[in-house]
Amino acid sequence: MATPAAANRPAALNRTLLALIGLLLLVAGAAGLASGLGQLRSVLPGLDPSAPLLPAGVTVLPWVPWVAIVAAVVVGLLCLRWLVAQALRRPATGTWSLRQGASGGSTTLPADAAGDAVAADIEGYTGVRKATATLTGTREAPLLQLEVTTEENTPVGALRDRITAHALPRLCAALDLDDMPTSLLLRVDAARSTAPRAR
Amino acid sequence: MIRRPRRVVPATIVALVLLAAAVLTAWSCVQVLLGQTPIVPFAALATAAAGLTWTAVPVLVAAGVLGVVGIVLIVVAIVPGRPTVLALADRSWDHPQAAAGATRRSITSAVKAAASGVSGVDRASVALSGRIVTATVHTPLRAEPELTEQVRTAVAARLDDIAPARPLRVRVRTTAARSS
Repeated sequence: MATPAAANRPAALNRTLLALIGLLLLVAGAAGLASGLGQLRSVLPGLDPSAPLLPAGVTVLPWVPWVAIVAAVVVGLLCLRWLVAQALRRPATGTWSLRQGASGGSTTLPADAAGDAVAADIEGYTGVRKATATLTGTREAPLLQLEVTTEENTPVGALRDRITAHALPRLCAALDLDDMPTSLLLRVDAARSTAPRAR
Repeated sequence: MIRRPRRVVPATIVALVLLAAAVLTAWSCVQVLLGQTPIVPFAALATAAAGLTWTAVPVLVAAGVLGVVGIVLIVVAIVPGRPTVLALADRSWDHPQAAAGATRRSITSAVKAAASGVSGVDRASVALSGRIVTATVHTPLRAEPELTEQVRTAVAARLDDIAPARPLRVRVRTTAARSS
């Protein structure tokens, strides 16, 4: 079965980071409130709520701006990476090496090429508007992620059977695999409806 | 295969706010090193902080706001949200590791097409909420019970074919141009 996280990028990343940042803010806010209301005195007797936030006339050590710049640049780059991840919906693919048995030779195959071949197969079926196939994982633990856009009236059961009976066996044969774990996401396209309407 | 919202909007907002803060901090520190006046007035901030105690109202309010924002972010991260993709039932002879799902919108547009295809219906709209599919059809003729039944059959047949893993209930409403 597909790991839902890998199939729905960047949901897992967003949830994790939002929870972490939220936790950080919550802890900081709670600590501020507790110290202001004198709740922390039993734990930290040295903490005086009536003391100023910063001692007056504090001087900045010469290395502080440098450290701050480095920290800010790191945080900024991580934020950029996080923003870029919002656009990267496609699962990661790689290159597989297909071992050729006893001969010792090996063939490398970009996983994208194998995916394109299945997608082309499925796009040939009647009632299918568009198909994308992404081969992810490793050769030992592969996962094929299919996204198929059909017309409004395309029979879904028959289409799924055809994919299982035709497209997947062809892919398995090409890759010399017994089985291919697959996740299929179905979209019905209503944008360009050609459905005849009875009056 | 169920998919839930990706939280792209809250993630983007938080990332942009953090990025802005990082850029301001780095820029101001560079200005300090160059001996210029930084955009973030560090000196004024330090003076203000020296004049405030932990019990000061602005400090407590700021801490409270920080805590509330933290709780909001945690809730956004934890609450699963309405599924955008519904799981489909396994086909009887599917190979065992196939998981299928259909987007919520796919299900409503397929059902809408099925309802519109019934003779005597001139437009249809479909809403999916919870486990109930409501098809509202409009007929230029009179609203006959037969029409409602035909629409229900067509919609049920389409849903049978799509086969959501958790079956959906069908409700049909008919509106007519002429009252019967």
